[in-house]
Amino acid sequence: MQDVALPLLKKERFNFDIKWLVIGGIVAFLLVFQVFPLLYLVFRAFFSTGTFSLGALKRMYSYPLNWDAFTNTIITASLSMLFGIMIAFPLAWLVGRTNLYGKKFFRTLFVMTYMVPPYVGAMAWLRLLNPTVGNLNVFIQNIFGLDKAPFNIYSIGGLVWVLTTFYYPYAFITISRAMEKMDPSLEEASRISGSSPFKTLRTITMPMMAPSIVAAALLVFVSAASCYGIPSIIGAPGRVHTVTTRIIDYVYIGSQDGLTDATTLAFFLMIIANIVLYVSTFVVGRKQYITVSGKSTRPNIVDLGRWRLFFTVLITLFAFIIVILPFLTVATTSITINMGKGLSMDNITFLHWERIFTRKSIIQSGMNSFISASIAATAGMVISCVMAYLLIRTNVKGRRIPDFLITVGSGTPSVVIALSLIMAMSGKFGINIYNTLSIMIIAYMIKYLLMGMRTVVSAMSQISPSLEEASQISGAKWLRGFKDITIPLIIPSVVAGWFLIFMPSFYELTMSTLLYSNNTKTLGYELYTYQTFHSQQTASALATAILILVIVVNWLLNKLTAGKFSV
Amino acid sequence: MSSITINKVTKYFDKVEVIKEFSELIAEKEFVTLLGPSGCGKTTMLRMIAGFEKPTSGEIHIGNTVVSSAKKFVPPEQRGIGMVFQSYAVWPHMTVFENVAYPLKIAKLSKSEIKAKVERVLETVHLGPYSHRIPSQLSGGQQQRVALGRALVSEPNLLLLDEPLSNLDAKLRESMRFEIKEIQKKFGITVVYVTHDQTEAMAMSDRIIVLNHGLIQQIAPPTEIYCRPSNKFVADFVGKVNFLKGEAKIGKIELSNIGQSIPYQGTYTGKVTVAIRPENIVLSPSDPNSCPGGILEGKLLAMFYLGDINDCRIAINNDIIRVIAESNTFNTLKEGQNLSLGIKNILVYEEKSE
Ligand SMILES: Nc1ncnc2c1ncn2[C@@H]1O[C@H](COP(=O)(O)OP(=O)(O)O)[C@@H](O)[C@H]1O
Ligand SMILES: [Mg+2]
Repeated sequence: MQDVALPLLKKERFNFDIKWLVIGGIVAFLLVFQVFPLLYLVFRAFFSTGTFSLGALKRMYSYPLNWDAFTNTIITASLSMLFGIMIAFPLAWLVGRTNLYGKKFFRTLFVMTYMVPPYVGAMAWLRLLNPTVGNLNVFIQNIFGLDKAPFNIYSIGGLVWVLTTFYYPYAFITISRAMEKMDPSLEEASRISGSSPFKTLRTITMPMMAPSIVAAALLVFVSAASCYGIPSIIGAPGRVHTVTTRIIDYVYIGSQDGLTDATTLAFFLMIIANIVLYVSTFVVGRKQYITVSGKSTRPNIVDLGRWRLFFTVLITLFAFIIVILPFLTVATTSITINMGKGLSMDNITFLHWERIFTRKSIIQSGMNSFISASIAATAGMVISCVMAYLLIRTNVKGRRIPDFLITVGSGTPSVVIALSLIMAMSGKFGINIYNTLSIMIIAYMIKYLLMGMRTVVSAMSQISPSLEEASQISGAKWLRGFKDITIPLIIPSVVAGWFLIFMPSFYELTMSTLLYSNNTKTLGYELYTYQTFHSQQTASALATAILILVIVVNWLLNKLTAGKFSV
Repeated sequence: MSSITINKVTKYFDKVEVIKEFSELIAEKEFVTLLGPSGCGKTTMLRMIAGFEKPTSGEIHIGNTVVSSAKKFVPPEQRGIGMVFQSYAVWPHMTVFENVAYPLKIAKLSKSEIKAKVERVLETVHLGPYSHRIPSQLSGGQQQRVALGRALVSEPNLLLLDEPLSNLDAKLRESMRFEIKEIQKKFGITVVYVTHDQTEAMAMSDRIIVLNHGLIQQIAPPTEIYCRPSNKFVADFVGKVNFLKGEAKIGKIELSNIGQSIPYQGTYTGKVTVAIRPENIVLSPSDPNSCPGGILEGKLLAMFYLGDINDCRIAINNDIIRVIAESNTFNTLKEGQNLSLGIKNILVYEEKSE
C-alpha cells in the first residue's frame, strides 16, 4: 500500500506546482496590464496635482462640459435600458414561448444583431433620420404631407433610439436564455392550480424571471453608457456629448488639464460599471433560480390563437425597421454615387467597393486589425482553455482570482481600459508599448477574454470528469490528459470562442481610437474616419463587408455547435 | 363526481402516433396506474387528462363534463384537478406556505380560510414546521410533499401524479407510497398515477393499465396482471419470468430447447411460448403431486444469496432457467449438482406464425 500511495502523492504535489505556475502567469499578466493601469487611473483622479485633492472630482460638477456629458450619459443609458427591456421581454416571450410563425428565423436575426458593430447602426440611422435629407424622414414627410421632417437623429432622442436598437439584443439574449432554462412544469403547476395563461405569466413566469430581467437591464445600461461608436457618429454633430466622446476629445487635445478631466470622467464611468457588475453578479446572480428540471424540458408553447398572425406581422415589421432597414441602408449607401439622389441605375457605382479592396491605407489597417484580433483571440483562447480547466476540473486554491480579474476586465468600459493603458504603459513605469500593436492586442484581450472563457467553461462543464480521470488512470499527466481528451471534445466551442474574441476585436473602434498610431491604424478607426471626414459611401462599403463577415461567422458558429450556440 | 371516461383517444406528435386508440373508464375514487416503459406515452396520456395536450382525436370526460372533444376543449385551469409533477415544480420564489396557498388565492378565498386550509394540508403532508421555508432549503422529499400539498389543498376530486417518487431514494419512496395511498383514502379522491416502476404500481393501484408503444396491453387489478398477464410483454414487464419455446400437442408441450415435455390441458396447438415465474418452481419437490405443471430435470449452474431468497440458475440442455428458492437452500445445495424442478404453474402464449 505504502509503495503505491507514495509516488501518487508526489505526482499530485508536482501537478500542483504547474497549476500554480499557470495561474501565477495569468494573474501576473492581468496585474500588470489590467489591475495596475486601472489603479493608476484611480490614483490619477485623486492625485492629479501630486498631492491628494478632490479638485478633479469637483470639476465634474463645476465644469459644464463634464457635467453635461455625465448627465447625457446617464439619461441616454437609462432610457435605452428602459426601452430595451420593454422590447426584449415581450420579444423573448413571443419568440421563445409562443407559436409565432418563423420563430427560428426571428431568433437568429435578433441574436445576430448582437455581433454587428454598433457604429453600423449609427451610420444607417444617420442616413435614415437626418433632419433634412434622411430617407425615412423624407418618406414619412411625403406620405403625411408634413412641412418639416418628423425626426432629428442629432438629438438625445436620436441617440436613445440608436442605442436601444443596438443594445436590446443583449437583453433579448439574457432573457431568452433564462426563459429556456425554466422548467415548463413550473408554469403547468400554476395552470392546474387554476391560473389562466396570462395570470401564470404574471404571477409565475415574470417573478421567476425578475433577476434575469434586472441583470439584462443592467447590462444594457452599462453597454449603452460605455458606447463610443454611436454617440461619436450621431451625438457629436448634434453637440450631444457623452462621457465616452468627451474622454476621447480630451485625450486628443492632450493637455494636462484635458487628461485630468478625461481621467475623472473615466473614473466615474468605471465606478458605474463596477457597481453594475457587482450588483448583477453578486446580488442578482445569487437570486437567479436554478431550476433543476425533469427530463421533459420542452417549453410550453402558448397558442396565440387569433393573435398569431397579428403578432407575426408585428414582429416582421419590427424586424424590418430595426434590423433589415438599417442594414439595407448601409448596403445601398455603399453603391451610391450621389447620396442626395435616390437609388437608380445611373446612381450606382462599385467604386467604393473597389476602393476598400485596393487602397493601401485601408488594406494596411485591415491587416493590422486582422493580426491583432487573431493574436488576441488565440492567446485569449489559450488562457480560456486553461482557466476553464482550472475552474471546472480542479479545486486549486486561487483559481478564482484570475476568473474574477477577467470578469472585472470585461466589465470595464473600453474607453477606461484604453485610457488607463495609455497612462500606465507609455514608459512612465518602465514599459512603453504605446504606439505598438501590442497595446492594442492587450486591450482587446482584457475586454473580450471573458466571452471566450465563458464558452469554453460551459462546454467543459458538460463533459463528465470521468473521461479525464480515465486518462489519468492510464498514466497521463493532467496537461497531457487535457490535450488528448478534453481539447478534442471541446474543440467546437474553442473555435466558437475564438471567433467571439476575434470578431469584436477585428472591428473594434473605441479602444483603437485611443490607442492607434500612424502605423497601427485599425479597420474600425479607418471606417470611422471615412464616415466622418471623407466618404460615407466608402465607410458603408467597409461596414457592409463587416456585416457579411458577421453573417458568415454566425452561420459558422451555428454549424459548429449544432445550433446550441450562436452569438 | 370525478370518474374519467376516455373514449377512443389518439395522439400524434407531428406524424408519430404516441397514443393509439385509448378507451377506458376510470371509476370515482379509484386508484388507477398507467404503467409502462419509458417513452410509451404515459405522460402524454396524463397530460391529455390534465389538459396540457389536446388529443388528436377522441373524447375525454371528467364526471359528466366533456373536457376534451373535437368541438370542445376545457383548459387545465378550469378542470379542477390536482397534479404532482415529476420535477415537483415547486416555485422557487415562494415560500412553502405561498406555494400551497396559490390555488386558493387564485380561487379568491379569504385570507383566514386560506390560512386554515393550508395549515391543515401542511399537517397532512408533515410539513407543518416548514411553512416559511423557501424551497431551496428543502430536501427532495420535502419538496415532493410541497407539491403534493399544493395539489391537494383545493380538495380536488381528481389527482394526477406523474412519476412523483422517481427522484426520491429507495427508503423514502416506500414510505411515500404508503402516505399517498393513505391520503387517497382519507380524501376519497380519484387518482391517476404514472410510473415505470412495477412494484410501485402493484403496491398502490386498484387497477393497472399497462401501456407499450402507446397501445394498451392489459387493464386489470394487480393480482390479475401478475398471475394472468394477457401477453408476453406484460408477463415480462411485470415481475420476473422464464420464457421457454415449445410445441403444443394434445395433452403436452414439448419444450424444444430443453428436450423435455410438460403436461398441458389448454387449447393451443403448434408453436407456443411457455412463461414460468421463478417462484412457481420448486427445487427437488418432495411431493410431485403439488406440481401440476410437471417436472423437469436440470443441473444447478449458479446460486446468488440475496438474504431473503436464494436466486438460482439451472441449466437444462440449451436453456437456463431462473428459480427463486428459499434462502436456506443456499447451504444445502451445491453448484453443479443435478436437480429436479417441480413446476407449480405455467402461462402459455400462442406464437403467431408469420
Ligand atoms: N411535445 C412533444 N413533441 C414531440 N414528441 C413528444 C412530445 N412529448 C412526448 N413526445 C414523444 O412521445 C413519446 C411518449 O412520450 P411520454 O408520454 O413522455 O412517455 P413516458 O411518459 O411514457 O415516458 C416519446 O417518444 C416522446 O419522445
Ligand atoms: Mg413520463
